[in-house]
Amino acid sequence: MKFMHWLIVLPILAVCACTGDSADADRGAASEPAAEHAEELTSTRIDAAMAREAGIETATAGSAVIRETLVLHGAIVPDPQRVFQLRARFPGVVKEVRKRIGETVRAGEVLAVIEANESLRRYNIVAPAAGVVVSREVNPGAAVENETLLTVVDLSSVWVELAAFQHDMDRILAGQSVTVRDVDGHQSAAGRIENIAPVGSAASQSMTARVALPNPDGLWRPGLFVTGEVTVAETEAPLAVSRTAVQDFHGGIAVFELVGEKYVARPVTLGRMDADRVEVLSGIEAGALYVSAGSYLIKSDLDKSGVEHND
Amino acid sequence: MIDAILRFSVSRPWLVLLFTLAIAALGLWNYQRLPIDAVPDITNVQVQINTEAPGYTPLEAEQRVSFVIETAMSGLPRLDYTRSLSRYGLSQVTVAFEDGTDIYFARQLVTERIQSVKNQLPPGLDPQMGPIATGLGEIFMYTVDATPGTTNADGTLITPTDLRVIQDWIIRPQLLRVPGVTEINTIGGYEKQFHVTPNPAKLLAYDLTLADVLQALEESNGNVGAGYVERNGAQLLIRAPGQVTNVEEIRQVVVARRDNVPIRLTDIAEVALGKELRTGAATQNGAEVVLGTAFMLMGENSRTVSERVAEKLIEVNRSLPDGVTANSVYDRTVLVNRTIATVATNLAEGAALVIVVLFAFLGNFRAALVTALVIPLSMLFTVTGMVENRVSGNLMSLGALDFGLIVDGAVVIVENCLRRMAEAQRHRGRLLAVSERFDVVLRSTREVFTPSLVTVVVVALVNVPIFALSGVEGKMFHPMAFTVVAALLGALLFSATFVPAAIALFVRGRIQETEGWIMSGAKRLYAPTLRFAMTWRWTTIVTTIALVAGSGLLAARMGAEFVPNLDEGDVLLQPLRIPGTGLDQSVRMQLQLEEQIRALPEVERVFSRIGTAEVATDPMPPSIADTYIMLKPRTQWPDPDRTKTDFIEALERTVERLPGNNYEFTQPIQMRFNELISGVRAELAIKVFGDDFETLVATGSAIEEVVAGIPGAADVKLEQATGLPVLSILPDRAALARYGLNVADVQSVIRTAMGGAEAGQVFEGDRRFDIIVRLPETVRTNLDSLARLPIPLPELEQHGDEQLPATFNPLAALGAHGRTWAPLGEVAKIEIAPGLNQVNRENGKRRVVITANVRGRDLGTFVAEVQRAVRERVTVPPGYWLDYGGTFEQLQSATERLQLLVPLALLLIFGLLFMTFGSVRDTTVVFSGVPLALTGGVLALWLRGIPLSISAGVGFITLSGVAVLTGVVMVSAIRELWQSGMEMERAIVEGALTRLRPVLMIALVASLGFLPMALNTGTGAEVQRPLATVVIGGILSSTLLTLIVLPALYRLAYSKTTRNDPLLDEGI
Repeated sequence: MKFMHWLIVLPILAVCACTGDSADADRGAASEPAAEHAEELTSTRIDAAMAREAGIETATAGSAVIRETLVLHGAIVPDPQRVFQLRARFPGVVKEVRKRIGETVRAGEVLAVIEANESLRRYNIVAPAAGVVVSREVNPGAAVENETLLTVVDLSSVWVELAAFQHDMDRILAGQSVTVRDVDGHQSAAGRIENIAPVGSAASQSMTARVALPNPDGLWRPGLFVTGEVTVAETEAPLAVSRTAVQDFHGGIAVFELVGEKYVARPVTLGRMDADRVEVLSGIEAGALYVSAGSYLIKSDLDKSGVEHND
Repeated sequence: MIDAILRFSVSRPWLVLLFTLAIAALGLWNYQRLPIDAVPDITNVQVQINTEAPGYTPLEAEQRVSFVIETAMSGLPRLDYTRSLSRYGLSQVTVAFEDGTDIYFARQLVTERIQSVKNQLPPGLDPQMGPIATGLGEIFMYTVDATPGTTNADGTLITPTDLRVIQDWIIRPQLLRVPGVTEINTIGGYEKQFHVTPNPAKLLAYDLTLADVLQALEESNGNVGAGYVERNGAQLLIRAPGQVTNVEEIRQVVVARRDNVPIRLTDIAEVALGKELRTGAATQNGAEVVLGTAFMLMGENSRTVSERVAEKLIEVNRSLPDGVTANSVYDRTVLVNRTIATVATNLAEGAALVIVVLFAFLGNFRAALVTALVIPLSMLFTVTGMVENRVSGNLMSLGALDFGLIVDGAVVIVENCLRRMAEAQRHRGRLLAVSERFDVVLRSTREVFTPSLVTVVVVALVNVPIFALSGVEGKMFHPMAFTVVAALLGALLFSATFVPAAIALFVRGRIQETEGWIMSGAKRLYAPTLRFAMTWRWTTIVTTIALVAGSGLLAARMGAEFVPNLDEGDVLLQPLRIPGTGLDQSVRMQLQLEEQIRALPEVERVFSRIGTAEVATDPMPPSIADTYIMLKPRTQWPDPDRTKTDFIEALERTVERLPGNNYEFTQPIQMRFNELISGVRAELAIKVFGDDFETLVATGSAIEEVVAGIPGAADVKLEQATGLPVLSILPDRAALARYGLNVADVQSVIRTAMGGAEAGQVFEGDRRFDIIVRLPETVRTNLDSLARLPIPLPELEQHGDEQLPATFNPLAALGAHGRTWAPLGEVAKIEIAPGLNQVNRENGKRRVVITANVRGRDLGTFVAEVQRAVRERVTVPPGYWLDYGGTFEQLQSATERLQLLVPLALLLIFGLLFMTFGSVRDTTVVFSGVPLALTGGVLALWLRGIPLSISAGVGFITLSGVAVLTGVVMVSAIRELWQSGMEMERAIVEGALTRLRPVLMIALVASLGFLPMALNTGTGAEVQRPLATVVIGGILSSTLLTLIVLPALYRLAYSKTTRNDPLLDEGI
């Protein structure tokens, strides 16, 4: 009796007991063999054709010029030394104004004629330098005292005032080269930082870096906004890789090297970097073939064994 | 009562036939209403609450949304548990109710609670309840495709965004109206958005902020109704439309005036159609597509609904622009039809074989036909019962329909009737008169009706333990047990009514008395074997016991599975990538994967969804994709005989070569199933509850280590909760103070600049599209420039400037700007660090889960040891607690229940047999047939290499019924002869020989009837194969052993008895 009982109970129990087994038999195939090496896997083999198709590219690590830059915003202002505000020397009546706004003037050219009140003699207002008339406050017949009659600005060279902020202060120095661009990117010009203003702005907590910019065509119009890309450092790094090669990996940073057919994760320490390249201080040797495109795929391939699907 | 029924049936045969016809008609009608699906639905009653929280990281989604909603749900009536999951941009709370709760009632409760907490959620977030569908609701999928070179009305090439617009505004609204469809979910393409992307430098130049842009857009995009005026009796409505309708109009929106110059958006920003920050994508055959999924309303019939959707889709195609088509890619009907076709073929072929067997043995075609008719009749009866009890037709329920057993009762009755009628004919030397015939039928039916009745009750009793299963197992197997019992009841009913009536009516000619060459041959073979067994009875018994014990050992060593996997015909491949993989990266990897898969000659098409769809029914991160691989019909394969396993291996080899993916292979429905039971997937799940996630993870990994060290532990895993790289912008409060900024100023700039902000909508007829303001992609994606993102500063009071030494500022003369700004890097620290991948909560508390399975060890002691080890070696910080769960719980409770119920059921069967025979010895002898039957079943499974499963278990249940039936038939004949005064040994031999025909018939009917099912290779056959195999093997062994061992056992049981009455012998 007991025996029979056991025989019937056995299959039923066995069937019920298998609930769990079957479920993980489903998963087993994918997760089991890999689980053990989840942490320490640092190299992988990928078929060359497959790698090419997946967009994995390699490049040789070597020396490179690292150009560290900083983009600052600012505006064009006239060179204060080239702004000429012309006034009447003696109070009088304006007899003639020879230039209109926007007209260019040569140095020594007569711009206006004024008849002095006291002597009733006429005298000329002469352009002190070549430039453009930017303002004209009077017309013939007006009686003038001491006010500005005309403003002439020499725009053959302008200033770019860039706002630099405190945490970049130690990196920005006079003499650094700057590429100035207008906001639409239509034009650009190269210049150098002439000086950094000794006084900062209370409101924006910024300081002004000045760049003198030749402006022969007058296209850099004062008042307009520009951006300035300052080259804060330009150094020759003995060993550098493309920035797309670098991945966060197992709590550090790694570059993947192609050794034979294997891709090996090389933990690296990085130095300076610019928009495209980054200096490698240690971790790989010069001449190493490293993954320059598709490095995420390698990282993904190395770490994939630890991946599971949990909802 | 039985007598009364039988008498009525035989005396009013036409009425009974009419009644039978009525039941059949009812069954046919109900068959139309029977919900049919491939597999039973095991989803519990649950309501999903999805809240889209654009831009929220998992932590924020959990703190701000999931917590609030989950807390609000506590204390609902009939609540089972709540669970939540917070991912990037999504909070999903699942509220599970007790089984049997009305879903609409549950949703009503949930709605009320959501309403009450809505104002505690961050503004703009809108919790939505998931579709009223079950886990098997994804019945139909289609892609929206454009033939290459198709253009829009304006001549531009069709883009994924255009396809998405077609899906959202043309296809979806039409399909939603199909009865039985509750949701059309979309994934892929890009939602059409108008993007305003201001150039940060220009904003600075014009002294404008992103907020100014947002405000300008909002103020320039509205329609106003202004009442009406009456003019000459007519009413004129007044409206002042001001909505922007296209890109050009948005460009002309004036943002500000500077020196009397209006500054329009076009001066400071690009305006164009842009791509949303999407959470999911879809691909097909190596190209991006838009994928729609139809969800079936809970309780509908998947076959009819997906048929309707397919029909509607054809109609919808006519309304699509030229060159654009919506193509069905996955249709549940295909699977269901194939499955049903398999079942139907099996049943038809089986029935044909049964009729042949019956005819061969009975030598009377009419009698054979009447017997065979019991099969469809009982099935129709069962269908009615299923519809009434809301049991759906599927592989599990219909596959358990074992017509060998159904027809057995009828076989016994018909056989006995024929034998008696033949005897009577011979006795009288003429054909029987009608009344005589009726009389003979009545008597002979009565004679063998008890065994039939006993069989049904026995099988019903054996099914009791199955009814005791709860949870997922219960949902899976209750339909099976229900169907078996219903079918047997039907068979019993027809055996008592239809069979005698039809026999009495139709079997009128001369009944062949010679048994034909089959029976005479069988008898010639059987008689000496029987005598041999009787002589060497001890040897026979010992051999049998050895066989039984051997098969018991075999069973213990056999592999086991829950349910045999239904081969759905398609493959679902889940490539898993490391957490934190971006959607675009994932799409690129997916496209390459699809190209590789498509190159396989067996593949018809491959399509995938990556990440989460619009309605987050299945919230996957972008690193995971569901890749559906649809295979060509086998006839189009290069090698049509290639097995699926072989193909999957080839597929695995192909995809393994691709870098960066880990894979899981399943099938579409199977995947859903696994996800549904995912909470209970592991045998042991240790949940750590607490507040701080780092502590939770630390405690979790400590436990993981301890559990992994315990013998028997396998697949020990700590749920992956971290690893998503997060870029955090941490405000520097000191710097903020210096600038007079507050945190919100910075945050709102970051949110708008990076994530984008909605600034109204553009209406194109009925369609509406969002206007989004955010920085250009070139700026957003360049993290170096993030530190330079300008943060506008509040305007300082004027005297602030005056305190400075007045520098010479020529700009002042040229009209300079007032407001100043500071770069983000000045006021915040930017760091990238791995953060939380997802936050899980359960029953209102954060938790992490450690899962483990057990190998080669008893689960109970393992769990006990784990509990002890964890208690001793892991310090759980105060405020944190553990919870042990997993399948072991259910297994334990099921085992406890079964330990009680199985003996009880056996006891009841024993009692029942005892009531029939009134003798312990007879009962024991009959009962011995059960283990004998199981022996063959186990051997057959082993020979075919099929593991044990619950399907096989149902086969064993069926077997025990058949074994009891043959035993009762045999023993009752022997007893009758013995009691009539025959010498015992002769009585046994005579009785056994008389009953050789019915026993052989029962065996052949049951085994041949199941032969097609055991050999079929069609869709769904693999689920039925174990059942059929067990029954065929078991019946062969049981018949053989019943015929040989039972007489020997009977002889042994009464070896010391000389008297002719076993009842007297036992002193009863």
